[in-house]
Amino acid sequence: MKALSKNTYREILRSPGRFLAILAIIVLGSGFFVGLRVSQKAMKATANDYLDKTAFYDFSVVTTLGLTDEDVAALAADPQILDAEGSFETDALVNLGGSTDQVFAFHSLPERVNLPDLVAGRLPEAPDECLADSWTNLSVGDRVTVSGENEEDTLSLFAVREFTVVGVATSPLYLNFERGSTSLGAGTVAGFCYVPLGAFDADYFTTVYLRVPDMPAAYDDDYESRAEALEDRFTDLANERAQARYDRLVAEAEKELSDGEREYDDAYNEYITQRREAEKELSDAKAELDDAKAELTDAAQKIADGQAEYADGQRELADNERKLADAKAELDDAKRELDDAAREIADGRKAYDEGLAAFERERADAEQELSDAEAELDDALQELTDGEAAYEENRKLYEDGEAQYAEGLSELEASRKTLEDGEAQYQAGLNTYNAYAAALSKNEADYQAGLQKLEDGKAQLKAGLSNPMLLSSPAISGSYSTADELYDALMAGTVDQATLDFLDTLATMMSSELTVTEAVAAIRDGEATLAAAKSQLDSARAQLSASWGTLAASRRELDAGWRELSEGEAVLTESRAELDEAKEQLDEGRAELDEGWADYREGLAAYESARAEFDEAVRTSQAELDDALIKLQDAEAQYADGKAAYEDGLRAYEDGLRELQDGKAALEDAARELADAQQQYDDGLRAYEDGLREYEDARAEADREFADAEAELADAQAELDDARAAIDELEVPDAYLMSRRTNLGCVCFENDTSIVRSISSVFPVFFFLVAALICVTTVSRMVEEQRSQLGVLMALGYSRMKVMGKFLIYAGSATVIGCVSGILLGSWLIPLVVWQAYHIMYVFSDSIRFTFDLPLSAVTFALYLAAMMAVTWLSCRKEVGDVPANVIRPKPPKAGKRVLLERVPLIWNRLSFLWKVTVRNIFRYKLRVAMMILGVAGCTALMLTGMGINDSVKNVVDYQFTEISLYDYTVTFADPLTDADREAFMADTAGLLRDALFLHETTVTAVAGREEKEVQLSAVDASEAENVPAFMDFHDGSKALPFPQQGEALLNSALAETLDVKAGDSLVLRLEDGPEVPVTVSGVFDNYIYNTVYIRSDTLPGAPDLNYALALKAEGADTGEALAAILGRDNVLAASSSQEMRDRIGNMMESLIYIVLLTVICAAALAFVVIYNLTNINIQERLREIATVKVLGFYDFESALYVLRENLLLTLLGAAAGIPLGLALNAFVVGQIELDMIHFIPRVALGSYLASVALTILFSLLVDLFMLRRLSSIDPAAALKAAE
Amino acid sequence: MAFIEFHDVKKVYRSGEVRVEALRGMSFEVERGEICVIVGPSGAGKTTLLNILGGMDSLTEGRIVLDGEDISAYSPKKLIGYRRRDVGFVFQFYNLIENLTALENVELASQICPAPLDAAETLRAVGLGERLGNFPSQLSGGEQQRVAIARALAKNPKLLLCDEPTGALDYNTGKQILQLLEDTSRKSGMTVLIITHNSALTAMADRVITVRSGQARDMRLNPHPTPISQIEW
Repeated sequence: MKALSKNTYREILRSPGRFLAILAIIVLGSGFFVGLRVSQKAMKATANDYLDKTAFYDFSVVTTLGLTDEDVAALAADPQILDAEGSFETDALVNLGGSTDQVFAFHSLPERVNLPDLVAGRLPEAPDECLADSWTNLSVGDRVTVSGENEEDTLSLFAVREFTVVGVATSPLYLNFERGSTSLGAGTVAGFCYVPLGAFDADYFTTVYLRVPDMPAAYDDDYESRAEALEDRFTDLANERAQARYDRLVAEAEKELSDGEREYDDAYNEYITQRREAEKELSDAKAELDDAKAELTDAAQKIADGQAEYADGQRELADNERKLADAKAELDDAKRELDDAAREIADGRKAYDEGLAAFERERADAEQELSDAEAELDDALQELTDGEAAYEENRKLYEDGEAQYAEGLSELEASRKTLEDGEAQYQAGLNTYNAYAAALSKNEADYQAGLQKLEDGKAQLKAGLSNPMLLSSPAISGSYSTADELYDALMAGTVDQATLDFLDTLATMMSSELTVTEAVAAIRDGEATLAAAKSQLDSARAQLSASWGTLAASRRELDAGWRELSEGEAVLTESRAELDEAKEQLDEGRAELDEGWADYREGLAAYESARAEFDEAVRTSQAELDDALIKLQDAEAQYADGKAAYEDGLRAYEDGLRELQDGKAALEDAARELADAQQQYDDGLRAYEDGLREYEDARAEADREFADAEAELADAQAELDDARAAIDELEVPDAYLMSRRTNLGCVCFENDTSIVRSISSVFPVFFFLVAALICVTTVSRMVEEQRSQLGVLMALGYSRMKVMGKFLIYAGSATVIGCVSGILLGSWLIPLVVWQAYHIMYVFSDSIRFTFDLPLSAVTFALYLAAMMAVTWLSCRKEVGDVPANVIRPKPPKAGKRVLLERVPLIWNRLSFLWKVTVRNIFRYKLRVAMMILGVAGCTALMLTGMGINDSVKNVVDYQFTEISLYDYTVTFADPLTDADREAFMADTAGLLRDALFLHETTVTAVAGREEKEVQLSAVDASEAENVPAFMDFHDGSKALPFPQQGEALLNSALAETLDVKAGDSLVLRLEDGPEVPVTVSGVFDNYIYNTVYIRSDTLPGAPDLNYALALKAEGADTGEALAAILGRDNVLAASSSQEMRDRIGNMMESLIYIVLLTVICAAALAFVVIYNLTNINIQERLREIATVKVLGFYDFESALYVLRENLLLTLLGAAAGIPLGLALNAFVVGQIELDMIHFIPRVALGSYLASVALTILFSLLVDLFMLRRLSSIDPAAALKAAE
Repeated sequence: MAFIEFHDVKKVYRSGEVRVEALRGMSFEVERGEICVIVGPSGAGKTTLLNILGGMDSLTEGRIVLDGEDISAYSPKKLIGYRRRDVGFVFQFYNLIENLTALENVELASQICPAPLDAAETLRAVGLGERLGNFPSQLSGGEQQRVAIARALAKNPKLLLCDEPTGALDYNTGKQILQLLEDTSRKSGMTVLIITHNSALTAMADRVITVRSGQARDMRLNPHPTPISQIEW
């Protein structure tokens, strides 16, 4: 492998998800397309196989009188007929063992045409064997019984009425589950049943099936045209056979009639003879019976007499018996009284003894109590006496204490007096001392003032002396250099007078107060005065301190005295308290003693009264006891007398009883005799009655037999008359030629396959587009990722084609693998699945025949490959076309851009910030947005289409029968109706039908210009026109249409479309027998089922017959019952019920649910592939961005939403876009579905819109959920990586 | 207690049989308000250290305490909350969201934290007051890194982690960015951790941690950091 190829190969392995996404979408697209296309072919091929194998008929011939072997042989001899086989078919009620009957369609077992296909068991051989319908629950061994409930006409068709199932089969006559309707039972056929021809008691066939040589396969395109070409020729053949059948029948009937007339005459003669014999035998028996009756009457009289005698005896006996019974009752009363008396005496004796004992006991107890009380009283007296003695002693002690206390108190008062005197003296001393002290401090202050004055004088002098002028004067300066020296000298008196004078002079001059001399003298005086005062002061001070010492000593003495006094007081107070306490105790003792005395006196009184009471009680009780004893003895004497009288009475009673029993025995003997006589009489009577009954029975039977015989004879006569009438009435039968188109199963199958085909035209477009888009996005992304690698390859010299080759191979290999596996898988799987769905209705084959459509497959393959290659080339052309130097450089990241929405601030400003980011991201990659929207829209559209098909097809019947056709039944009559017929019809169905509209119905060809169409024509009499709206609601959209006038016609919409006419246009109706009737279209009405033209009867020439009716079911009537009643009428050719029609079509549409399921699965696959692929690419591309967001601290869920929000928004946009797309597709697909006579109108129910959008969102969310895990695993550290 | 403490932190990566010890007992401390430059050769464990401190990765052994909180004991969910509130990141390649304008990029961060700064105000503070409405592709590399720094600052984080903030810028622009980081730290007292292999930047740091072979080999305090304008390399 070359290096470059290896690179490609590894690329696939490196990103398998991406490769698989392309692969998957291609598998899905090609598989669904080819598979669905092939499915229709495969279905048809499977049916063709089956019909071929079972030798399915091409035409059938039916006449109203049946056909015979001769007819079959004649038909088979025709050169244009390959094979012909007669078949006998009839519907009958059968019983399968349950309580209700079902209707089975019985067929004679064919040998060459329409062969049943055995599913189990074997073909029937004996006449009582049958082949059962595989659609029923019957299995081999079950029994099928033709029910006795069947009409005689039906029962007479069966030679055998019980069948054993020997095999189970499918039949080509019943391709799907539809078994048809019937006039029997509930109106529907439950299944078919093949029995040998011999099991029917019929000499004709109901149907002859024809096979034509060299016909194409049933569902080949040219079968229909070949069959149509043969129809006229075979219709002639059928009519020929009908005439021949008539001729033979008339001849046979005439012969049978003459035989019958002969038989009737013989029978009548025999009846007359036998009647005569029977009358004679009966009259003999009657005579014998009358004799026996007389004898019995005598015997009865005798028995009655005996019975009267017996009754008298019995009455007497009863009287005696009653008297004895009275005596017995009296005796019993006496006995009871005696017994009562004896019991009373015994009770009295016992009571007396007990009373005596109690009296003795109580007396002893009372005496004991009295003596105890006496002892207690003596004890109390002793205690009181002791207490008095102790009290006296204590009182003496207390009085002594009181005397001592008074003595102590007077002593204390004396010493207090002494102390108070001392205190007064001390106070006087203290006052004197204080006066002295005050005087002293005054003298001391005077002394200090004198001292101060002296010092001041000295200072003044010194200051005067310090005058410099003085010092510097010659008188001074010679002796004293300083003022201090001069002062000291002055004080000491050492200054000479001259100097003194000088100084005095000077002082005078200076006008001082004093001269120096005066000053010195004053100073000296002061000093002497002060010294004297000082000595005085000192002596006063000494005196004062001496008197203070004396005072202090007397204070101390006084304090000691006071202390002693208070101590003495405390002692006294304490002894006072003690004394008070003792006094209190004494008083208490006294009180107690007084109380004790009172108690004692009371006790004594009580004792004495108790003693008196006791003595009284003893006396009374003794007297009572003595009285009781006397009474008791009297009673005992009376009792003994009574007892003797009773015993005498009893003896007399027993004698009477014996006599009575003797009388009874005699009476019983008499009764027995009477009973024997009665028995004999009864036996005789019974014998007589039996005889009488026998006679009467015989009489009645004879009468009945006569009547029966007469009735039989009359019936035979009537039958003969009927046969004659029948022969007269017999007409040439109608013959019908029917093609396969009249076989319901055969037609349904064709229709069903067309649904499959129409579906197959929807899918490929989407898948093709989406596959291309997925390829584009994936390859673009790869190219972007590997840009630099491409550059390197180009730089290395690889050619552009080689470089591009990598991507072409990548996409190409996915396409090749995907297409091949898709086509193979689709061709196999889709038909398989489709058949699984259809198999429910079409049981004839378990498996589908697989077909492979080579041309289709080849075209699909080529188309996909070409498209994928093209888009791949387009995706990488731009990159690879660039110069290598540019390619090798990394492409700058796609720049952010403002989006259009930002210019709409009204919306933009309201978006939350993160939604803004989402919106910008969405518009960054337009291709992806387109693809996502397309994919999601496709998903929604597919589901809407699938569900829409369901809505349109399934509901069309509902619309038809609830909005347009309001009638419940259509009835086709065999013969034109007279007024009487109509009245009879209404009268007979009263209770089941509410109303009916009778009209003329026929087939005409409608011609408008060059367009021709065979349609049903309904003509209503003008008088009935106003009743029409109750049966048919003609409307065009919401506009109601009136019933047409003469010369006008109403057309249904589909017909109008085919003929290309509208209201107001003219139209020609060509009748079957030639004439053409021009009409004007008065309106076009909505209608889905059948093409019908409505006109008024008078539009047609002549007076049209009434041969058709629309009927309304009565309220509460059973649908099936009403239908059976209609079908049961002689004149009714066919009838169908709307309900049955709805059910049938409804069942047919069941398989549509599989179609819906298929589209939903497809849509889901589409959504998954697209959303997964895009989200995947989106995440890969924005790995760094997501990692950065995670680094910023977005929680896992937030960062996932950061990306997935885009999916949600695009899913919503896509789903919205999918709705119109789905509607368009639905209209297209529904238009493609071709069903015989049914026109589908595309409709989508609201539920389908909701469901498809909801499912789309669900699918998208599922992918998101899956992606959530991937996003969670992105490592935020990836943000640090270098740019790629 | 220091603002950031690494206690014997070990981180072992296992991929199959291979066992790579990215951190082998790293211990260091950084004080609040410091500019710390972590320098070391490629493969020394600088980025692992940053991842773990930034709450983007768990450690194998040891303990990391940030502002008294033991972040090594945080659950993954708590770590996200931690990134949201407490850490601002500045990447080598800016990691701006291309699809958001400068202002919106900042708002992206500020809108999820409890106490953000005003986004426009922060952008003006980093000198981009005129470019609020521009998409990253309309901004120069230096401007983009300014937006990134504004985005980190707008969260008002406790810590600014810068992984080679000038690695993708030319000399002058790189210098301006570092100047911005320096100003931010000095003015607002933000603790800034710068990881670089350019040892010339150590001069601007208050603290330089040299990392080698998964261990902090050297931790040096720089009492007088040189202003970035005076550093040449």
